[in-house]
Amino acid sequence: MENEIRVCLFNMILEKLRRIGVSESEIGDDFDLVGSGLLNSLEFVEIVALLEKEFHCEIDYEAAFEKGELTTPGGLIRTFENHMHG
Amino acid sequence: MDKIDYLILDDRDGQEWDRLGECMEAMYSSLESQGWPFPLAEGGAEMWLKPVRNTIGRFGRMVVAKANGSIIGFAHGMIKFLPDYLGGHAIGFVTHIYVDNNYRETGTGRRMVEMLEEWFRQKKVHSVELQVITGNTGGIDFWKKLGYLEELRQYRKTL
Repeated sequence: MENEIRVCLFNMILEKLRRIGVSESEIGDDFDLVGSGLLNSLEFVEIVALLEKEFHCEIDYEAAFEKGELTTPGGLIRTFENHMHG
Repeated sequence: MDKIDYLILDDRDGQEWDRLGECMEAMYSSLESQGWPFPLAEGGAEMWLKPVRNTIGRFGRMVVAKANGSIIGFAHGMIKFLPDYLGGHAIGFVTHIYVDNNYRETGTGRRMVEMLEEWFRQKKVHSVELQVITGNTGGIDFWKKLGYLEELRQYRKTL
């Protein structure tokens, strides 16, 4: 499941990475997608909304933000995995 | 005065979304005249509307005002999150608001903002923020009348 979420997430940001000349390998699990400026606020919530549609769920984004982990790839993947495993 | 109807769009309102592109273009023409340095790129309206439409309901609300079957105004609000080091709060953000010149001073803008604020309250945001171009004195007065307080100034220098 982790891999499916990871692949889905990176497919969504791949075009943006290519446009700014960043390779996927430079985006580690702790990379802040919003803080780095890679994604603006609207782009970030779009990714969350599209992941929710893809995996048929609605995460508790407020709780995830309080834990301070939602804006990294690792944090996003963990949040979705934890939600889907109940 | 023409009767004005207010709609909250969802992603099934295809025709209304298609019409918003023209409103965006009119809005950005107006912004340029007020000193905004970044004109809408070619296809820019569609580029902006795509993620907006994908996040509607869950993270965003789009209100449109219609008169005589045409869209005469729109207002978009979304949820954004402060960074962790500032508490990670959910903030309501009014990204765009536009009213056709012929319908200014009719209460249209105020009504659309009220509809966004209703949604922001349901989403329990910490506060609502927005940005106004310095040269938009009418816009500045509008937000002050609605109880918004200025707290930040943005500067730019071309190197």
